[in-house]
Order: sequence, then structure tokens, then C-alpha cells
Amino acid sequence: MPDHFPLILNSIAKTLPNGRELFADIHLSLSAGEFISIQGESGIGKSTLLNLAAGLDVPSAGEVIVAGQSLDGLSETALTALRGQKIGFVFQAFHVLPFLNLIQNVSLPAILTGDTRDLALEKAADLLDKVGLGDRTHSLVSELSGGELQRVAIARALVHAPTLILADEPTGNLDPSTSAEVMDLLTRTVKSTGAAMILVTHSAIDAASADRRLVMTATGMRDLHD
Amino acid sequence: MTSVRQMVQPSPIWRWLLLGQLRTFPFRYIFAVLSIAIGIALGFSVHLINASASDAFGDAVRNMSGSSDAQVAGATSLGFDEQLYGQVYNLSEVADVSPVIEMSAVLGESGARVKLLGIDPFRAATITPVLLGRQESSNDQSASRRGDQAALATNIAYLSDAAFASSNAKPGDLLTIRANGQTHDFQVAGDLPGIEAGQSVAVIDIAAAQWHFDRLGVLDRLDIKRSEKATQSSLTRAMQEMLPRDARLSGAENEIQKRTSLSRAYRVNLEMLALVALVTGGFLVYSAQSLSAQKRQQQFALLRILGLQKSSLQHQLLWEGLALGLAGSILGLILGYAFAYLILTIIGSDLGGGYFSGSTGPIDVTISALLVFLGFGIFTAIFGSFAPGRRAAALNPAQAIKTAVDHQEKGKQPIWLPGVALLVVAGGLALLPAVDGLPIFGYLAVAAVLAGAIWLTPWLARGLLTPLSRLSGRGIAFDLAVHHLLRSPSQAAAALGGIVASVGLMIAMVIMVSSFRTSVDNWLESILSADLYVSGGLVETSFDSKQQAEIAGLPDIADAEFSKTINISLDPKQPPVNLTVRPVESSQYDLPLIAVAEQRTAGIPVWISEPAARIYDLQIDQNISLPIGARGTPVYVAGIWSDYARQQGAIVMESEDYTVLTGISARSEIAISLQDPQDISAASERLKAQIRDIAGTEPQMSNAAGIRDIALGLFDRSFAITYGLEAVAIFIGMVGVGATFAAQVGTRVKEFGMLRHIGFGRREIIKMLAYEGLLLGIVGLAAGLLSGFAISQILVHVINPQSFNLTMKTAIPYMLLLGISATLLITSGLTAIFAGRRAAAADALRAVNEDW
Repeated sequence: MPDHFPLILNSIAKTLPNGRELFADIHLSLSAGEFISIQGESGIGKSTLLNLAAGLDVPSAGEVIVAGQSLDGLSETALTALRGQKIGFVFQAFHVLPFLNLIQNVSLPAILTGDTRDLALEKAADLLDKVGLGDRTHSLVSELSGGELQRVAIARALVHAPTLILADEPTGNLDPSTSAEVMDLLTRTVKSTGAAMILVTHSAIDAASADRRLVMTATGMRDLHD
Repeated sequence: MTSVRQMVQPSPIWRWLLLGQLRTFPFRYIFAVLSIAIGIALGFSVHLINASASDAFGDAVRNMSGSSDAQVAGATSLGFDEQLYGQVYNLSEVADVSPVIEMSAVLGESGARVKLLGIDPFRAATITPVLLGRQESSNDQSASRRGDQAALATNIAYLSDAAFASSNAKPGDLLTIRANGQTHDFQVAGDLPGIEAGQSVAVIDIAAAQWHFDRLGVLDRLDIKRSEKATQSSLTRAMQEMLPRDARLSGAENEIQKRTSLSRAYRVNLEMLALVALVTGGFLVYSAQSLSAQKRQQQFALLRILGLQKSSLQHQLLWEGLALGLAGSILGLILGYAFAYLILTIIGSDLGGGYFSGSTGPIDVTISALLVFLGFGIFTAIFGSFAPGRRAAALNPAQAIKTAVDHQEKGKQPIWLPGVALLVVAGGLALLPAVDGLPIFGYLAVAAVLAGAIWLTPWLARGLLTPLSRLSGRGIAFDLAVHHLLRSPSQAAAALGGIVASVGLMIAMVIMVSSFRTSVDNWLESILSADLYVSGGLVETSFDSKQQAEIAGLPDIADAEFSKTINISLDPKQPPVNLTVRPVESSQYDLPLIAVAEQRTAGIPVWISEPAARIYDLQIDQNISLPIGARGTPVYVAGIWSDYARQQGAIVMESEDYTVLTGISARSEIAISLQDPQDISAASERLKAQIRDIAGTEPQMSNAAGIRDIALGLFDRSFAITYGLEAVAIFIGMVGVGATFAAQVGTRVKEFGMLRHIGFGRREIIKMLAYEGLLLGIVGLAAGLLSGFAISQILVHVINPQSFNLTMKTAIPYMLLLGISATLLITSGLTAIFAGRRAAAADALRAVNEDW
């Protein structure tokens, strides 16, 4: 399998336990360093698509390939290990652990993928510097604004040098001005690492910064410019 | 796959998470640590105190036995024929023999009780030199020599330091010693430097002991030194072949074993009771960890998404449990040592059981005991963290990171089969016999009932709450409360686990103690049917036939029955049983018989107590041989009677039979029926004076009510430590209920914020929580009462009979149970309201850092 594609979705479908078909026959190939955005109505299946890409959910049909590795038939342990090594996440609700300081929060994925504590902290400090929080590495989460929390989350998503970033509504909890700052930071930082990124968003402005803009509808996924 | 190394070496993440949790939610962890610490402290202190008492007793026995290789002791307190001394001395396996008379005695006016030993100083010098006195020189205080007792006159006594202290005697004093119903004056010649501190001993010449205290021709003990060519086993074999029925081969280790076997069940029960608090603590750790895991679902989901393995997440909670257990155990061991030190210093080592009165030694902490209790604490905390860890690891991270989910599927019936299976297993375990005298399977049955009850509680909750959910018109707060409990079964189960454990165990102990006390009370009422009871009091009195006739003829007395109690040994490895000699067939005071022979057979009948029947496995009509006389005396069991006073067993023999067998007609106790029972106070005074005139010593008079009060007082004293432990378990249980509710409410701050946004007032939220608290309290109480009753039946009908060899009837203290139930429900409701007031007032920012 070509491992220069961080993500390939091969004719995947998802049917919910109640029998409702969420989507079917979705194809998507993401090149290294490519940034795509996905828009669509609420409940259409955007987040489910991200979960399938991350191995957090299993497709009803089709195949998901992450960094050349098919997720089909992988054990829970192997999926977790692959996710930890190859994928970075940015969430709408930040999900920064409140009882750890910033550098500890950011270093978590690096430690989980096997870095020593010192190396992980070094990488985390470097990334916090890149996202503009280099002077607050030991601050507590409760001292940060929403925009700053999302900067921490961006640094955490990149600390273990993943090949794929999955960002689910990263500006959904932020005001327009802060959203613009965060999106700019996210795009620049991810680009600088060479990772590919899928951005799920309702914001046309955020989506506009992507290399490709996709829209999910009840009939499938299409390129916005088609 | 997670390697073993990953499991045993926590990564920095675990340390960060744990320390972060500790910083953010200190009270949750402090409470869990304290729960473990209190349980360990109680268990460890009881263990240390018991070990100290046992060691002190053992040291004292070994001290008195000197360097003897074996001992022959009388099978009864009547002793054995002194001719045995010469026969043993002549054995080729024996190098030397020291004969001993051994009696309990009273010193002077002080009434101090001592062990009175009569020895042959020449023989004792080589075998038991610790018994030799050191003569005080009247004109030179520093001149003292060992071995002076060799020149002992028959009117000289030596006292140990403890005997000096208790009798207030000084060297040179003339001291009255009373023993075996006789009195004689001895001059105090000096001390006994070889006797350990705390042992009250007086030593006189053996001939003086035999002559002055009516022991002519008999001995109580032979201390034996083995010859060089003999082995211990050849000596034992030779001795066993030649010993008569009224003598037993004994030894220091046998004596220690006898005493420790008598107290072992009591000690183990106390330690188990202390561990009840620990078990309750374990379930509270479970509740705390369950609710903590629920509160942290999104954090765990994040870690899982970031690459944390399922097993590692479970290990996180186990590491937390380990940390809690380690901290709690270390704190508990320190507290336990401090408790033991305080109790030994202030109260002594008896702990109310009466087994080790006067025996107090230093606290000896062994590494094995430290490790066992440390292990108990850690295991309990890890056990409490295991299920929450599994549940946390099983969550779907993609779902959990968006919203907290309940691990049980909504609408699915809780699985009841394993719970029922546990109860069936408990029933089977309860039927199994004791292991080496300990009710091991009984304790396992208690654990199985508890586990089964906790398993079945969600099922019971659903059964009780579902009908309530169909009720209408109870208000929105009530409806929400019922639906929350029904739709969040995991939260309800976590809260209920701690409540059911603490309530169940506390109810069980309350019923057990009440049953025991009521049975003792009823027994006392049945056995104390005379108006007055007379004993020798402080003086070892006996009434001879003439005196008995004179006393029986006193005008105030309608009927007088004379009795006597001696110790006899049926098995050298068991403590001696009491042989009580009294009228039985002709008596107007019935024994509280629980079984009786249908027909009289030929021979001498005896009536044995229930503990004796169980210890020696004796049945009605069974023939046994009592060690009375050189050839023993064959008797048969004519009846079995209940006895709560003598755990080591007791036998009753007809007075006439005993007199015929031994030729001894003197008796030491009298049960008196008065001509006019209404006149008991004045008659008692008159009889006291008249009996003193007849017997020459001051008798001790008691009435039935007085003895009953004293006996129940003794019972309460012996159960004082039990009440104390019970109170601690109840306290932990109640605090646990409160903490569980507070923790549960703490996990729902966002829900309350939402409810306030849609128009719920603070009052409605508090009302809803009060309903929830009350409903959970009712379910927990129902499960706790049911499981508590089941456990109490195991305690009453399995553990107590197997531990103490006596049976009892269940007596339920309804008013006390009502009080506990009301307290629990009020605690549940009030804690829910209190926690709700905090939660309902919380703003969004506080909600992030909410602690309980």
C-alpha cells in the first residue's frame, strides 16, 4: 500500500445500529502535507467520518488505510498504537487536562509513543514556543483563555510528529477574532511539520483556508468546486 | 500488548495524573486513605495487643518451668499420688525429678492472690532454680545469697516482687497464707529473683505445703530432667506408659497452647471484626473510585484517543488504588502501633476477654505481621479499584469524549444470576465445619453474602424504583430523581455498593451481639434460681460435713445445696474443664438442659455443658473416663446443658457420687433458698454472721440479681472492644454514605447548571437531590437489612458456635435497628441536600474544578 498517503478511505459506508445509513461509498485520498476541509449539516456524519479515520469506529463496509496500514482486522491494541503514533487530534472542547500544567499536557502523546520524559518535555517546550506560549509552560489550565487552550491543544496534536491531524470543529467554541488567530496558527504549524490535516467545520471562513474543500451531503461527499 | 515492565513501572504520565488528581481533589483521596487507615489501625492494634498478651503469658510459663525437659501434672486439681515421684525418678530416661505442690492462695489481710508453690529446694536447684528464694539479711542489706532456701524451715516463705507489691509484705513480716481451705502463718524470708516481673508467686517448702494445706500424700507437678542417654521422644514414651489416669504428661509449650487455644477464637474474631472496618473501607474506595472514574470519563477518553492502551488505563486506576492502599496502610500501621501502645499502657492487654488478665509484655512488631497488614490494606484498595478500572477501560472513547455515558446499557435488566450464585455458595460454605477450630468457611460465607448482596442491589433498585416511575403527580423533582436513578444504573450501583457493605455489616453485628447478650441473659435467669449464693470469698473456704449440717439447719434457710468445683483435664492439649459437684436429681435448681438421656443406664451419670460436648465430641449416653483416681472413673453422659460461662467446658456430677469416689465431702459453695425470700436483705446479713461463726471465715454472699448484674457487666466488658469496633464501623459507614452522595453529586455539576438554565430553581434541584438521597438510602437500607440479617445468621449459627462452642437464639433488637435505619435515611437525605446546595450554587468555572 502506498505509505505516502497519510489517509485513504476506500468506498467506506456507515450504518447506525438502528439501521439508518449515515453514508455510503465514500472515497478519499489525502496526500502528505495536504489540508482538506469538510463541511456539512449537523448529524450528516462528519465526526463519524473522523472517528473511522482514527480507528475509533468501524465502517460497515469499505477500508480505511492510515499511513499505508489498513485498519481492517487490526486489534484494539494495534489500533490504539497506530493512532498514538500517526494521528494528532484537535477538538472543539479543547480537552486539556485541568490538573496538569501546559508542558505536561502537551508532552502526553510523545510519552505515550515511547519518548523519554525529558525528550517529550523538550519537544513540548519547543511546540509551546511555536504556538506563542513558550513563557507559560508551567501555567495551569485554569489560568488560560479559550484561544490559549486551543493553542495548547494544537501543540499537543503535533508533539509526536503525526502524519495526519484530525481537527473537529477546532474554532467552534471561540469568538471570530480568536478563531481567525487559531486557524492561522493551526494551518501554519501543521504545514510546517509536513503533516496532512482534515478539518471538520461549519465555518466557511475556516474551510476556505484548506487546500481542498469537501462537502458531505445525504448523497455522499463532493468537492465544493465541482 | 502491555509488557510486565510497563505494568510494574508507572510512566511519568501516571505520576502526573495521580499527583494532579491529588492536588485537585484532595478530599476524595484523603477520605479513601483514612478509610483504609482506620481499618488497618484497628486490626493491627488488636493483633499487637493480643500478641503482647500471648507472649507475656508464654514467657511466664516458660520462666516457671525452668530448664525441665518434661512435666507431669495432675489431671485434676486433686493432684496425684506422691508415690509417682519415686516411680518416675527410677526411670532410666530420667536424670532428676523435682516434686511441686501448686495451689492458688490468698496472702494476709490484703487478699492478694498468688500462685503458691511448694518445692524441694535441693531438687529444684538443678531443674527449676528460678524458684529458689534469696534470703534477705536483716543486718546487712547487700548480703544476699542464692540457694539459701536449701536450709529452708517449714514456716518460711519467699515472695516474688509482684507478690510483695500486692501484699504490702516486707522481709521479716509474719504473713498469713490461705489455701485449700486452710490457713497458716509464714515468715517472709526474702524474694524470688528468678521470677519475671509481674508474676505473683509465693514459694514454701513442699513438706510445709503438704502439711499445712491438707495435701498430704499428693503432688500437683513433677518437673523432670532427662538423662543424657535418653531422647525427648523416648522420655515421653516411657512416661506415657507408666502414668496413672489422674496424671498427665505436660510441659510449658502445652500450657501455652492450652491457654492460646482457649483465646484463639476470641482473638481471631476480634481481628476479623477489626477487618470489617477495613472491608467497609474497601467498598468505600470502590465507590470513590467508581464515581471518580465516571467524573473523569472524558479525560480517560482523551487519553485513549491520544494512544493510551485499554490495559494501561485500567492500570492507572489500579496504581491509584495501590497508592491509596499504601498510604492508608502505612498510616494505619503507625496509628495501630500508637493505639496498641496507649491501650497497653492505660488498660492492659486483656481486651475484655479475660484470657490474659495480668499478662502484659512489650509490643513486639514482627516483619511478617507488618507485611500481612500492609498487604491487606493494599489488596483492599486495589480490589476496590479493579471494577471501576475495568469499566473505565471498556468505554467507547469516541462517544465518551463528547458526553459522559453510563457503562450499563439503558433499559437492560441488571444480571442477577451471579448474585444469586454467590448467595447459594454462601449457603454451602456456611454448612462446612470449622478448620482447626476456626470458622474459616463461615467468614468466607459472610464475604460471599456481602458480594452477592452488592451484585443484586441494582436489580433490587430497579425492582423497587420501576413502580415509582409509573406514579404520576409527585412533582417534577420526584420524577427526575426516580428517572435519574433508573437511567444511570452505574452511578446508583457505585453509591449503593458502599452503603450496602457498611449497612449490612453493621446490622449483622448489631443482631449478633443482641442475640448473644439476650441468650446469656435468659441463661442467667434460668440458672440463678436460688435466693442467695455463698462462696468462700477471698478466703479459700471449704465447709466440712458437720458445718454443712449446721448451716442447713439455720432458721432462715429453707433449703441449702452445697457444691464444689475443681479443674480436671480431659485432654492435655485442651484447657482443663470445670467439674462441679452438686446435687442434681434431688436438686430444686434445674440445670438448663438442652438434651437428656431417654433412659438411665447403669453407672455414674454426669451432665456435660454444651461447650464440653462440642470440644470433646461427646454424645448423650456416651461412656467416658474422668481422671479421678489412679485408674480413672468411668461415667456416662446423662445430659447436656447450656453454659455461657465456661468456654473451656464444664461437667456436673452428683454430689454423693463424688464423695464415694474421692472420700471428700467438703464443699465450698452454697445455694440457699430462704424461708422468707422477701426478707433477703436482713436474712443475708444474719446468715453472713452465722456462717462466719460456723466456718471461721468471712463468707461472700450474693443474691441472684447481683450475680446477674455482675455477669452481664462482665459480658458488656468483654464486648466493650466489640462495641468500640462496631461503633467505628458504623462511623465509617455513615461517613461513607455521606461521601458517596457528595461524590455522586459532584459528577453532575454540569447537569445542574443545565437544569438551572432551563428554569429549575435551586430549591427544585436540592429537592430532587433529597429525593434521590432518600430513594438510594431506602434501596441501600433494604439491601443492607436483608444482607445484614443473612450475615447475622451466619455469625449466630456458624461462626459463634464454631469459635466458642456454644449456640444461641436470634434476638433482633428492633428499636436499635429502627434507630439505625432512621439515622441512615436522614444522613442520606441531609448529605444529598448539603451536597446539592453546593452543586446548585456552583458556576460554570467552579464546575470544572468541583471537588467533594
